[in-house]
Amino acid sequence: MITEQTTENKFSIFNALITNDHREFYEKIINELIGISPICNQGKCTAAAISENATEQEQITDLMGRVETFAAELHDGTKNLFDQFYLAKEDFCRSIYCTTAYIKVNLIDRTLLERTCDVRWWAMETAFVDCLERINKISSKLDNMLSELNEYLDASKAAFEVPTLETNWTMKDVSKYVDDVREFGKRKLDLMFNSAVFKEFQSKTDVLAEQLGKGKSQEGTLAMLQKVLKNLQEVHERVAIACSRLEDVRSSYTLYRDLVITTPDGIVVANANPDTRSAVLGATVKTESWFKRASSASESSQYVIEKTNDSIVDSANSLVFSTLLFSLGNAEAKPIGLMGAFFDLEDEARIILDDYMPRSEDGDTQDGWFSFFTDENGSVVGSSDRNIIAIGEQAHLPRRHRKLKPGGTISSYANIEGNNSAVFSAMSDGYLDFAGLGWSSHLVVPTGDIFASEANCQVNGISPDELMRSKLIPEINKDTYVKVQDDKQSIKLISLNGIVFASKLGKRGVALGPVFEQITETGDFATSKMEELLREMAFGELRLNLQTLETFSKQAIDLIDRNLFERSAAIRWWATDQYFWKALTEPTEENLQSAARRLSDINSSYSMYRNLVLSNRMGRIVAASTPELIPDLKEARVADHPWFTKAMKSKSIGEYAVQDVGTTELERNGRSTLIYSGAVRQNGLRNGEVIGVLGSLFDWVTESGKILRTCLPKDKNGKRIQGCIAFYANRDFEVIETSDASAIPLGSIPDLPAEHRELASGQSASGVLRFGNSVYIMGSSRSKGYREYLGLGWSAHILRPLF
Amino acid sequence: MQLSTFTIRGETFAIPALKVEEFFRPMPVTRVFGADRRIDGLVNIRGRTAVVINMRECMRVEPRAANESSEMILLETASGLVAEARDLGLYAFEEPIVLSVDSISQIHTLESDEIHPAPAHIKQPFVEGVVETKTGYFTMISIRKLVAELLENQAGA
Repeated sequence: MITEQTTENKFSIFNALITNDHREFYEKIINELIGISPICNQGKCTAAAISENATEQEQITDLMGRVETFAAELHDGTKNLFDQFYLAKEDFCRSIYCTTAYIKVNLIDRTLLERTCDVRWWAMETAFVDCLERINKISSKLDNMLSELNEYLDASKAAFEVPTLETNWTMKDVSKYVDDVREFGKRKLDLMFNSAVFKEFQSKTDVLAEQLGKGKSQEGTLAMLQKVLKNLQEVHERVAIACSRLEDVRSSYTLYRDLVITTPDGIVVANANPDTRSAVLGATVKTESWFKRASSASESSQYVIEKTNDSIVDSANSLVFSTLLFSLGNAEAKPIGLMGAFFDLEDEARIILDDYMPRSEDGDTQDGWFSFFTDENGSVVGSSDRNIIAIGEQAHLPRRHRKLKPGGTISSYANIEGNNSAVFSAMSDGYLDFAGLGWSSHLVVPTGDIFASEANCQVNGISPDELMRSKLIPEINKDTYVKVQDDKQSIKLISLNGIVFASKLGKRGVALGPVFEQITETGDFATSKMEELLREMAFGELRLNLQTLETFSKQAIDLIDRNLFERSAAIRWWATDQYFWKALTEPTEENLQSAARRLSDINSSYSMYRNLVLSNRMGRIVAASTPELIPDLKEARVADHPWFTKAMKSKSIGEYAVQDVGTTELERNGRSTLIYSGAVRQNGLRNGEVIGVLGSLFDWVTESGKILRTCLPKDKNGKRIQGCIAFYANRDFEVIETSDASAIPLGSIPDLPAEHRELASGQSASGVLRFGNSVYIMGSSRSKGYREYLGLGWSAHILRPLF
Repeated sequence: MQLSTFTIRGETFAIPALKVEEFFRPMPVTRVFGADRRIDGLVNIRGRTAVVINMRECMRVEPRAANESSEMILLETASGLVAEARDLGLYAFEEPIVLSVDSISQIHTLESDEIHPAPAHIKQPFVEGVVETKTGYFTMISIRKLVAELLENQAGA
């Protein structure tokens, strides 16, 4: 399927990459220059014919010689120029597209890191641990109970078969009812986890109990029935609580297909997806690889990640994050079960892979462009076009693309699925303390799109000459530009001097005139073509630079959207925590202290929050993770703060509120924060009455600054390009974070061109920006949100100076 | 007759080609203290010292910016003038003179009906006539009158 091609490092007109336009261009120049030589010879002959004066002849021959030298130089210059042109474009595209490939795998790494935090955090949820502890206990007793019950049932049956004074002889035969109940004795798992089966059992038991009640001396059987029922009842109650908590998780973090709790031997006791619940509860995952790996993992490893696409829980392409569960406060003991979170890899990969791809008019990704991920074995785990690059198959990639080192990138030309393409690959190097899964990201671009003609390219707001002088244009091109103009002048002066010289020869010189005119024409043609090519190069350079800035601005806004999505998910989940609704329902000193401790526990597992605060329904802060940050805790009233009022009005859990970046009385020194909030409901019930609000103060200044700095343009050697500026603006175009406060101050509203202001959600634009005395190029992108997180209408802007 | 044309701030001017000895690139000029601002200074061309006259100053337009290019025209001296030029009554100075112009354009072969006398409202004495071509007009100037005026001015000062 693939043929690897090697790149010619020197210009050859036969290189397949050279566009037809350029081939024609090149041939014209060369033909003209080749024509110079005969003209010069003609000039020399003419000189001999018209003059017998040796000095005069020498002067003409000398002029002709100079013309020939220049023509030869121009010939070489043209070749070098094309060489420069193609190499520069290749270089630039390599840097843009390798970066794009890396951004994609980095986005996955960042998401996966968050997921590893999720699963570790949830493992500490009391509802899950309580549920497992009780179920394990009941389950182990239940076998005995059921066999004991069967003995009682047999005895009852026998007693009824032999009418005695003790039994009511009118009810001779209860065997049918006994058998009905007895049948369930072998269906322990169904009884425990299938509510329909349990209901049926209950009603059969009721009927039997009624019949037995008519007889005498049946107390033993009846008591046993009650005991079994009571235990099963408890199992179902615990399962319901655990399922409901899992549902809370799933409605807060929408990127999971399902979450399950299993016993140590792989029986699913609770799940989050109500649609599949009846099939999943009680089923066993013992044979599934994710379970086997997680249950045999050493107890100190905090989580295990495994790919699956055929689990009984969910058959879609997922990544299962699993962790062992232990009795609370007793991590040394044997695990009591296991939690598995099915991360929706398919959906996540689709979102990331479809991004940064050019679209045709009907909105589809352009043909020949592919973006896909491969795992450590080179098989495809996500694809922008699964009909052509199928998931689960080995990717058809050049060998070097399959042998990358973490963080490494590579590009080459290859024939991918019948298209001449350039392939850009980048391997994950993890993110922060997450080592990554050894995945690689690949971007396939049709060669024709890389070397498309830039001849008609125009960018508003800058002239070719201004552009030619700008910092964007590499020195080598500037030098060539100067050299071409120099050659142009030399040729002109040589031929003008020639014409003047001829005219002084009077009638004798007439024959020389056309020779010099021809030389002027050829020289002009060749040099102006070269200038054209240089300008095309300059505009190509400009266009790619604009594209880079768009990519970076898009990355900047995507990273913040994804980060804030996590914040909105976390607050939704924490708001359901029992410590908080308990403290608000019964605000005793002890309850308030536990709530504060809980807040501080949560905050210490994250680095991006300044503070977490719990307010009662009157708008008084009753607990905080870091109370010392609040200027006047006792007097703090938040009843009129947007984060509080919006959350108080929310309808159910799964909703959150947000207060846009700004100052708040909850922060000393007027530091800017962004506040997310979720309503705390009576008894943690889904539609319970709102009894207070939990708020998280996101450390906006630190976090947004970090992200902005990662999105500043870098040169080939990875060094930051001087004078670049990145900033975020809110929906009113007010600057809410900036990498250079002296050029673009916080709180200012920069005068942006309309096409950078009127961006639709998810759209990007780029262009030239004149700002004070400086000229910049700028890329801008508007937030498109992430999943159900709609974003706050912000935009990211990256500027690069031209002079 | 052939004319050599050059431009000064986008305007085209012409002098007879036979009065030109050589066109060349700008070269370093040695300033002359106290000289008229229209004189850039002196240059050395293959051992001969020539005075450089700044045509922008003569035309009273703003000086060239640092990044704008220029070119030079060396005029024939009286001894170098060819017979045909003398026949035409063309004047040449005894000393070498260099004109500093923005750009040298081309050698234009003059048709007899193309040249018109200078319009009456043009006061500058060095304007000799106006040449009409397919693409527009250009001005024929007399270097002799230009330099004579310059010398008078110097004498007056």
